[in-house]
Amino acid sequence: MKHTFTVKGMHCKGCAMLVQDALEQAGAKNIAIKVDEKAQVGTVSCEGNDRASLKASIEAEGYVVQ
Amino acid sequence: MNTTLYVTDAECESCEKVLGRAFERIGAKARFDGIKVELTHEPSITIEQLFDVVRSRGYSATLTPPVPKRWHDHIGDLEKLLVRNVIVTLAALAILQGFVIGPLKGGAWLQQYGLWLGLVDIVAVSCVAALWHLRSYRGTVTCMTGMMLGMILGMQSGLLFGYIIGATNGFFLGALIASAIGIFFGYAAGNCCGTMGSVQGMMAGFMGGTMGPMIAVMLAASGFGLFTPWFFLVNIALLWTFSVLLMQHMGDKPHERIRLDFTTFAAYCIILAAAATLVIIFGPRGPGVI
Repeated sequence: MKHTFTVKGMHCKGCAMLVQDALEQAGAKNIAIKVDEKAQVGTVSCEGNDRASLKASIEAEGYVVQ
Repeated sequence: MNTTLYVTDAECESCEKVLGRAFERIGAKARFDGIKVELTHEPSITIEQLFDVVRSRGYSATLTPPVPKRWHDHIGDLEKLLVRNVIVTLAALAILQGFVIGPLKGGAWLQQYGLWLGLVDIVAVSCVAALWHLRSYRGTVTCMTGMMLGMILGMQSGLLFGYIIGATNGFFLGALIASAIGIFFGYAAGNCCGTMGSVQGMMAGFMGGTMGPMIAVMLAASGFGLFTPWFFLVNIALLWTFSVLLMQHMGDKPHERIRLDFTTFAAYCIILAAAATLVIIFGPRGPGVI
């Protein structure tokens, strides 16, 4: 099942890697991340079963998921 | 065993987290101090392995600290484009003024006002160019830099426009218009670091805008003489230090630069120069057009 998240506080490639690693550990696949550096917002899409656990894995890195 | 690396493109805490975890995976402990990374690891881990970790996460590292760049090392395509825009816009403004205003009143009054109209073009283009340069950077600046940027552009734009309008139309109109211009530029430039920079920029703008016409009015009594070229030379040079400061403080930021379009730049220059020209001509002491 495909999920899309808008993640506040992402501003560089380091943030993208942190979120990517967190989602991979939570079992997500086909992860795509776009970061708007100026707005400091990331658009994250991935495939996985449990949306709540994917969201929690991003939030555990200190970001706010809308 | 300790090894020190310099990760030149690590920008923030997220980068430190990513690299710190990657080092941990091979058994190295990292301590970050800006781009300097002090690693504690077993002697069995080679320097090449440490470099591999950095590269695997998309960063680059060196064993020696990078040589600090001077401001002119940051001159890039955008700065060259800016200089080209300035030259083209100045030429366009001179031609426009020549065709539109030159024939008014037979052009004789240009002997008296030509110098001020020419200076208006140079000052308008210089102020807009400084702001254009700032807007082409997307990164944030420290409070101190932002306050300085706001102060330079606010003060210099106010002083320069104030001197011209004060010299041609007296203190009241000069101070009124130039302080508004100074406040606008001071706000726009200082805003790059938030409220503190905006306030500082606006205060400097008001100060410059009132000091410029004051100097001009006081000088008018004794004659402008060689002071006018000296005043403009020094203050336009100071205005361009805005760009030097910008490159020194933001040139190293790896944030993406924005290529602003020429049309907007030229439009702002023409609007500003045209407005100041109208004030000079139609002000209470201006020549008028009849």
